Amino acid sequence: MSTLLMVSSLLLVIGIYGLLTRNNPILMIISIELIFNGANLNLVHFSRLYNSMDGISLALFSIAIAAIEVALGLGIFLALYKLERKTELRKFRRLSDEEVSA
Amino acid sequence: MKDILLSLFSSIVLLSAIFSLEEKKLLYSVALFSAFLTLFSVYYFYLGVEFLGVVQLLVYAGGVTVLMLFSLMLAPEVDEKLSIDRRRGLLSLLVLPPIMYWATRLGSRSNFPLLDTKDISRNISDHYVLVLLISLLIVSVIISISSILGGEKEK
Repeated sequence: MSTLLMVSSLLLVIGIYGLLTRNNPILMIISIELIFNGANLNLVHFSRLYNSMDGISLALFSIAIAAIEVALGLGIFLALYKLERKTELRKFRRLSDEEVSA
Repeated sequence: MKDILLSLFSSIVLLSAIFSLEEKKLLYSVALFSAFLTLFSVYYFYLGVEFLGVVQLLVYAGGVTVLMLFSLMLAPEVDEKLSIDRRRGLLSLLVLPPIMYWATRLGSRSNFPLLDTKDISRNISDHYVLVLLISLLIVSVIISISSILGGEKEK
């Protein structure tokens, strides 16, 4: 049983590592999805461990929200790509005070 | 024997997750991520939650991967020069594993209350009606905003 806990924590660590190191929006979304999956595994595992359905229900909501989040994130990325023709997210600073350093 | 097989399987799942982030080509990265999601649904079947396993296969391995492939197709320059900033990741690799290990140990020691609810839908309708309504509201707001923005663009 502890293997699953280990997998979920390692997935969280891998996801945060990817989120911090990569600039590409698709890879950042993949990292976020890894974090979501780790959290879902933890929820379902503890739900089965304590014979409760709460974790499974929350995991279901989490999967739906993750799918919406991916669709929105990719939509925003494609809209920004159409405007600026840039793919590295850290270069998008239209709302900040700094000048764009492309 | 069962534990050894589970550990071997988990190592394959984790390797596919790592390589999906470390791969240079984005197309291979998305393909490895799809493999990871498909393999990950086996955990749900192993834990006896077949419904979640099927949802994982349909929503993640099906829908999300296709969305990513479409965005790769629509933005062809996205595949160029994948830069990695490894200094940022060093912090997460050094600090996060001990914190997560401690958190999971703490979580496994605590006593959660036992519930008798057996059905997912009954559980949602009993305890999570408000969450369900809020999520439906958020989805409807998102759809209406996108339709309004699309209408303005056409004008």
